[in-house]
Amino acid sequence: MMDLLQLVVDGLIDGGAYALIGLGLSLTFGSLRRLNLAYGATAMLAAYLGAWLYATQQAPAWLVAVTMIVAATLIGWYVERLCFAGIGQDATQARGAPVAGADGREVVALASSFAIWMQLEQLAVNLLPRHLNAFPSLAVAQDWQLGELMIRPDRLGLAVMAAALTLGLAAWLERSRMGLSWRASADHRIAAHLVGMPVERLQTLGFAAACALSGLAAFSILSLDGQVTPMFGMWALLKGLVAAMLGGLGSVRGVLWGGLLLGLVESLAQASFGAQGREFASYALLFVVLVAPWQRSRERFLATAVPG
Amino acid sequence: MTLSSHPRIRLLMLAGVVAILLGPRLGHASERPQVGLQCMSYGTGPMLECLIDLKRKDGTPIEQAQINLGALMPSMPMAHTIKPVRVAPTGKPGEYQGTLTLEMLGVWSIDIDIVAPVRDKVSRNLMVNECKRDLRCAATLAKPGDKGPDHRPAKGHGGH
Amino acid sequence: MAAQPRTVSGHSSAWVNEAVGQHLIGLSSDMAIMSLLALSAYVLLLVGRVSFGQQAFFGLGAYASGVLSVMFHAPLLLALGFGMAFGALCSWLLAMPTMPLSGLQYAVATLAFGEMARIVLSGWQWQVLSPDGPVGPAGIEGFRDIRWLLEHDITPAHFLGMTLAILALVLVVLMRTERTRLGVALRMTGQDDTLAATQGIDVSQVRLFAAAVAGALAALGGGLYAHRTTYIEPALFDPMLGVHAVGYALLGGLGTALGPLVGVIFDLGLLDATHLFSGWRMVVFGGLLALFLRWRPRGLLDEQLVHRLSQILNWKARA
Repeated sequence: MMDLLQLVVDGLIDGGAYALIGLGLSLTFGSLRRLNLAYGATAMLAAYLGAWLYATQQAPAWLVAVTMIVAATLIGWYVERLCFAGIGQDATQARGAPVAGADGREVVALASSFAIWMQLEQLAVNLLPRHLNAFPSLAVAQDWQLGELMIRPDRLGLAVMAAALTLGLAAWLERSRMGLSWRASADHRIAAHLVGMPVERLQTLGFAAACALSGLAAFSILSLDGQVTPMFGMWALLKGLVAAMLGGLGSVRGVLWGGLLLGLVESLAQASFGAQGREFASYALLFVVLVAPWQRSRERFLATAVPG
Repeated sequence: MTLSSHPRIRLLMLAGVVAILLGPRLGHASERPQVGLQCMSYGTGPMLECLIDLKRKDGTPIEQAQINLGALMPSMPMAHTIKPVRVAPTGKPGEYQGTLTLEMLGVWSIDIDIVAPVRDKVSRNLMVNECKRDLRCAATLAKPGDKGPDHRPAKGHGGH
Repeated sequence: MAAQPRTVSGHSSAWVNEAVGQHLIGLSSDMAIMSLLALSAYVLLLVGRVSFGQQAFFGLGAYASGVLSVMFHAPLLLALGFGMAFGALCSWLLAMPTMPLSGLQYAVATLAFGEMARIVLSGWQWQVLSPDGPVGPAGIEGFRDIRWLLEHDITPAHFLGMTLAILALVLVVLMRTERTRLGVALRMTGQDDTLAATQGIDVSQVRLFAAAVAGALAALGGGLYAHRTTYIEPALFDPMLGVHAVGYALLGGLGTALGPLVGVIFDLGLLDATHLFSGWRMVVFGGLLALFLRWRPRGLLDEQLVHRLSQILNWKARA
């Protein structure tokens, strides 16, 4: 029984990391109604820049964190300008998009963001060609003992931070003026435009802020590992995608639940089926959620960027 | 487009494919050589110098073999094309040497393509690491977990 | 064999030429195989679906063909055909539950499926005893010794000829289908499925058919690849492979089946083989692709250009 509880606790705590990395992805979707496939690569390039700084300049951890956040923001701005800016949400269809019809606009931007995914990954690997690269480590080796449960305090801290950030952001989006105007511009572009909001600027800002979050998430997660590998980009994208989609793409609180659920499922799957089973379970979960016929969630994935 | 409208040419192409695929089946008696591979990486690129040891099943070294040495990156199979090199005998019977110019560090699948006297193909996965300046570092056999998609090592129970 | 110099650096020019020849043959084979995978993505793009899971059918076809030729000693044609049938079946089975999904959801679902298939292959072990020891898929270690080509004395040049013939056949079939009602129905579904439905086209059936064809093509490429390299492993069927396939189709153009080939030749032939941007290939390719998608979303050989070219050709033929 204790074993099961330990698994559950481990899973939930790891879920915090997934929620954190999924938060940025969900927000990029929320602001533009488009999935940013270059998200993982953005986080990875920022991480590699941080690792490079750490390796060559012996930069302290805080500087690495700041650099990563700034780098991720800039890269996010670049991605947004190149892939998503030219395609107006309600404007008439771009001439001969790969997929026309109701989905066309989404898919065009989706397709071009994967091209940048390739680009950013190669840039990162060129910067640091090795497989294992050192990253400033903030890990705490000692486990906390809570009765018979073993809890890693650093991972718990990450999970708490993820929850706080998510809930705080959700509240901010609900209550603050900036948050409301951002949501308005995402919801009804034309109406927001008519009311006088700088729609394009808001969207760009929102996108860049979401990528900044990805930099923060990447730093937090990698600092507990103490290293970064070329697999990080794909990992960030896939885990973030699962967490975000489980909770409903665009929903901020949803990402938290999605991340926790993913962590839980993975933890239980690993105990039963090993490492490969864990991976399989996370993709299977995503697949099932997408395909499940009993969910009227088709519209949910195009949901407005509501906090709840 | 005019080519495709010739039914005869299409039929010829189909016939050609069928003929080649079902063609003469000359089996060999299964006489697979034993292949030993040792590689060292050095310099930028990096360069990979490989020693191949070729023996018959009974242990006698195979001399005057024609071997092509190639490499590909398992994570991106048809990109990172490396020019295959012909290996040269080192003097020791059954031993050959070739140097590859790789494009990146990481896991590479080294292909040993034996053309003569027997035809065979062997590949080994090696982890090519960075080697400092003038040193030469041995490239070790890569374990399957080295290129897994999960960037974190498998998690243990309760602790990490 | 003529006497060869014994020093490492002193290769004779004949040796060097032969090595270059082998390299070109290998490169061309790779391009032909990759073209099949790109065509697989292309067929789905025609019906309006972006699939990031075609590498799964590539892998499944590779394993299926390998199993047939190694464990059952089937001739290559049969092994490839079996692989194609298996790929078509799996793709068709995947297409059914994913039919009602939007373009975005479909892309993510195929990505998830691709990874699921890869993980299943890394767990699958089936070893059979042969005179040389155990052979067969060995889970994460991969599937070694797919030696049909070696055992039947088919040289790399011979194999290249065969692969090119197969590719040519596929292209002919695809291009001929363009002019039939089926081809038109495919394109109409891709352009606007609601409108196509009003014209009496069964959009679901068309999409299922396209999925099956795409699965077969990818599996054919996989089978050829498995026999060419004699060793396959699940790590090869990485999402990046599928992403590249879609990229080639989108860059080369969706107007004709030759479009994906243009994309493949551009990347593997021009960028990669010439080492023009050594180490920056994906940066250049990715950047170009993104720019193209911004201003020329149907690729280089888009429908307009193809139409114009065919008009010129017809005019010349008539004159």
